[in-house]
Amino acid sequence: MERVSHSVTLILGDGIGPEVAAAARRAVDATGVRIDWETVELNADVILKTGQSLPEHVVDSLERTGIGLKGPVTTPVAGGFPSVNVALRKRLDLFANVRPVRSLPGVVTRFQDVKIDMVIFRENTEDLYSGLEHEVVKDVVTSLKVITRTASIRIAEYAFKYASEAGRRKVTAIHKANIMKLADGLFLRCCREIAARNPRIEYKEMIVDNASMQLVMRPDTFDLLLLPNLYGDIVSDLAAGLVGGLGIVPGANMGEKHAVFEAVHGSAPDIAGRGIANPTAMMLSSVLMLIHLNERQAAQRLQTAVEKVYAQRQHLTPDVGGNGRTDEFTDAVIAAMN
Amino acid sequence: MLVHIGQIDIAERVHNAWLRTMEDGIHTYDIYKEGTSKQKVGTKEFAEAVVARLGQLPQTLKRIHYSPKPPAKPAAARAVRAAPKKDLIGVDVYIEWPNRTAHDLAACVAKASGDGLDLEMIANRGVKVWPDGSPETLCTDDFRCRFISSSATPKQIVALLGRVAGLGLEVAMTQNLRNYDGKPGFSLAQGQ
Repeated sequence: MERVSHSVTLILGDGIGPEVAAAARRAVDATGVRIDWETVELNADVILKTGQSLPEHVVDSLERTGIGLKGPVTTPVAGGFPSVNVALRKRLDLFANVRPVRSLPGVVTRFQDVKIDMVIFRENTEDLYSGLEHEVVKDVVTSLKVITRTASIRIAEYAFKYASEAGRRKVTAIHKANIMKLADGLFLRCCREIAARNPRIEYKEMIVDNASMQLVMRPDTFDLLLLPNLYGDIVSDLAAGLVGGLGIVPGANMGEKHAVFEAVHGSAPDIAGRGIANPTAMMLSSVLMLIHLNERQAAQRLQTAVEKVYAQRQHLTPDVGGNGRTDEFTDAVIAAMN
Repeated sequence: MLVHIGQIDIAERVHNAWLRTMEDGIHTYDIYKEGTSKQKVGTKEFAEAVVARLGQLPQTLKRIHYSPKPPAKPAAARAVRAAPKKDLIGVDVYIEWPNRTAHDLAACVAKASGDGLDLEMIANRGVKVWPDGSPETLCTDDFRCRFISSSATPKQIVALLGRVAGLGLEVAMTQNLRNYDGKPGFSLAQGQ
């Protein structure tokens, strides 16, 4: 049977970006799924040269393929460029930030004796991140928090849909509606509305401060978390820290028409070009991409292979306590697939 | 609290007695653990156990030592920023515009421009949607129309709002835009 081929925009990024992107590409190709990669350069130099955080050639490619796999991009500090990630989210209306957080066997963390397996759904387009700031009078600044029914319903629907498709049992909406009664109150009302339509999935609510404590005390009790933008930003990094940090957790920014899968770690300029960068986050982001492409078998193969290599602890990169190189780790993952 | 009011020695006595109680395995229900703890007690019994140990020191845990507070320095004069030069240069007018496009709104609301206050851009939830918006941007009914002038007066702002209302548009909220020492005291819209 002729396999369907998928088009994907591969954004190399800065620093270790090209190295981890190449490693992820090799691993994805090894699953047997056919991908037509459109490789685009997007890094600090390109941004400075074009004067845009999101140059047209990148947008054009993403418009064509609908799917991006992205390495870390450094936004130049000088020049007042908006962050590349923010620009991508807003330009393509990537409203959902999805971060699965799973314990990896063999990674030494403070929580290694606990089985952590949660998925964080963060609303990505509004809340305090709308950039509505004013110095109203001298030395008095207000920043507007925007919560809308449209955006809240959209993220809640998306989270519950994912929960039922992925066989998740429980959705916990996280909020501060005891203080922000109108704003977070609206978010909660929308979550409840969607929860009522999904009676087979357990629905809980938790205030964000308590949720932060519970996450470090009983991380194994969480399944799917649903949060507005600001809490989602903070809690998703907290959760990543439970399983070993940003080097090993994948991320996805999803919209109606587009999806960009990315490693959420930085570009690590200090180790760029030395061949020791850890491509795990990029590979696991590729797993999310394969699921999105409905290549579930290939996704499972890649995920299992990464976990196998971690469990063996033979070919890991220095950041997770090994002395392997990027290529060696990638070879081991590919070998583990067969 | 005892440290705060300067009773350092009493604070040390209480804290060390508490450490000794913990070390002796006398634990309340919330932290009692089989094997580690020796005696499960209620609040009152725990307090009595601490009182009974006043004057004792912990044997394995590190004993507590509080240093006296340094004498209070005279309060530094509160830093005051010199009054900046402020210029009123425009206004954000939030307009309720249900089920219509930013383009249509621009065509309509631009008619309210005048006195040097011109429609510069329209944003929705912080994202610029006119001119040159992205078709992907999700729009709510709340559009922010930014009018900018080289210099405006409060009266001109109010007159502008009057003209907007005169067009049959419903103003939901307004926010004046000022420069402080020539720098904008407001953020640009995403994409602006």
